[in-house]
Amino acid sequence: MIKVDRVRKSFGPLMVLKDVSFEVAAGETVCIIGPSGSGKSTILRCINHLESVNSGRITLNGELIAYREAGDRLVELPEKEIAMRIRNIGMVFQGFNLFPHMTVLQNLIEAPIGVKGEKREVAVERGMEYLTRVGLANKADAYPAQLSGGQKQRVAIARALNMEPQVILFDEPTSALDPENVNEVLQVMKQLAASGQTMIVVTHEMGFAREAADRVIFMDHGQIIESGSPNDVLSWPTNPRTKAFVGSVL
Amino acid sequence: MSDQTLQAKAPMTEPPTGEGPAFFPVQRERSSWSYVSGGIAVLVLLGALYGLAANQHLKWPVFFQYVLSGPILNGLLITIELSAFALAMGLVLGMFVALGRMSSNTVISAIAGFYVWLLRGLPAIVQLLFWGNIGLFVPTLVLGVPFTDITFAEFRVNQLLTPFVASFIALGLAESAYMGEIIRGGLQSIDKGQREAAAALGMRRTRILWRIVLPQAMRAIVPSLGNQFSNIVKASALVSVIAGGDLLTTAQNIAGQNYRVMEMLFVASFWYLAILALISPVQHFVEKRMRRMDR
Repeated sequence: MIKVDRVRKSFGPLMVLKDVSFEVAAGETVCIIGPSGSGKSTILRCINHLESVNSGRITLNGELIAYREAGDRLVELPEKEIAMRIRNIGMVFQGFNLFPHMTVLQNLIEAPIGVKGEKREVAVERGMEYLTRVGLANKADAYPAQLSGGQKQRVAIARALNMEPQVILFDEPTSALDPENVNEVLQVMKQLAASGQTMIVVTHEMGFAREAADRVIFMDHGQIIESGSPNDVLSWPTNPRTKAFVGSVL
Repeated sequence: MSDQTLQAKAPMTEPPTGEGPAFFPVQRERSSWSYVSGGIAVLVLLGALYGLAANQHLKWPVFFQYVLSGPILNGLLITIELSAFALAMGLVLGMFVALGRMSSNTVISAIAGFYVWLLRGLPAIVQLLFWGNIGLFVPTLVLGVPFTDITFAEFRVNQLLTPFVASFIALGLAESAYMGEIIRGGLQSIDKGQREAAAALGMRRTRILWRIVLPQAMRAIVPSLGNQFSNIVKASALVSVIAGGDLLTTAQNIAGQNYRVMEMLFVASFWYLAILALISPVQHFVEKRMRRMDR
């Protein structure tokens, strides 16, 4: 479904992605792990074009996401067309980024109505279903400031789901949470993975990766060092850098 | 040593409840100086008020004769209209100025920066005199395509720019420079994550601005609107230099006929202070309504 092909990205002189390539199939949950500064968040942000790339192709169902081909080069698409494609890619951020001036339900229906042109009743009905699934139907009329961190992140997940995206990107979704709130979010994500939602998750939660991921990718210094089943990468890593990292976090 | 250890290990009895008589309550005492200084302040104030009321040269009946008179109320209305229009114009133009300043297009942001520098840098009275006298060097205004003979319409500037219109333009333009900076500050105070979250949901730039960023920025902008309005009301007194027909112009015109300069200044002052006294409660109310969404 998602194909990342030899993507290169630098911030000034610092190259943060060095020809990164991987694929994610429909229904798969892929966890990207690695030390901070390894480029794992950057590759996620490149997929939905919050960051531009220097070279390489990122496609969703075979279609380039933010660029068009012009000979042997890529040219950025107009903003309108990028927005059209990005609505198929959900994102959950480390810092939640809920809209504080809207209620929980308004957060969920803003984009389906405003971007997709859905009828209000349709967006509300489906939004309430997703709020029920993340266990927060009773908070529909609350404002984000009234919620705990774990509740905010569950709302953020429901907000992404309400756009019915083909894939959801999770950028360290539990890193900003108090320890007692981490599990409620991971539970929701596990259910989501089990339901067949395609997910790419950048995380430090090795327990989640082991339990919910179909595949684990280990990144370091802008490169994919090792990739395979959770058992292979987390229990029997072959590369010394993977061994060192897994040894340090477990 | 062993004593302390024993105490530390002594079993806790009941947990404290916060009920019953307090343990060593703290008492606050006001120093006798505060009574003395407060008394002196009241005396000075009373003395000043008495001096005003009893002054032989101030004819209070004149004040009361004019404070509710037709011309003065008409001037008051013009002052309020002028201020409200100028604030509205400042808001609308200020929005463009702010967006221009934040534009990634360097030509546009440089022009917007120059605009702010020019209109904030020139004293308001200079700008008023400029717009009030512009008919002197631009006698006609031509609407058409520059550098061609194509014209759509032609106006005589002196008919178009009455003192009221000139005052309105001058105050509104000056205000737009200040509002532009206030709006820009408000827009830039919004966390980058808000734009990213909206973009990730497929929203486009204009939609993100109107639905996500601007409503949040209003919380930073609205409190300063009250300040800006009171500044404009006071700045509007300057339009008396181009006979703008406002409160102060009217008061001075009357003073020119009856020679009661002080009384007429008091009449004008009374109304300026009355307008400003109304702004605070309105501002308070609006801010309270906006704060509903935080917790």
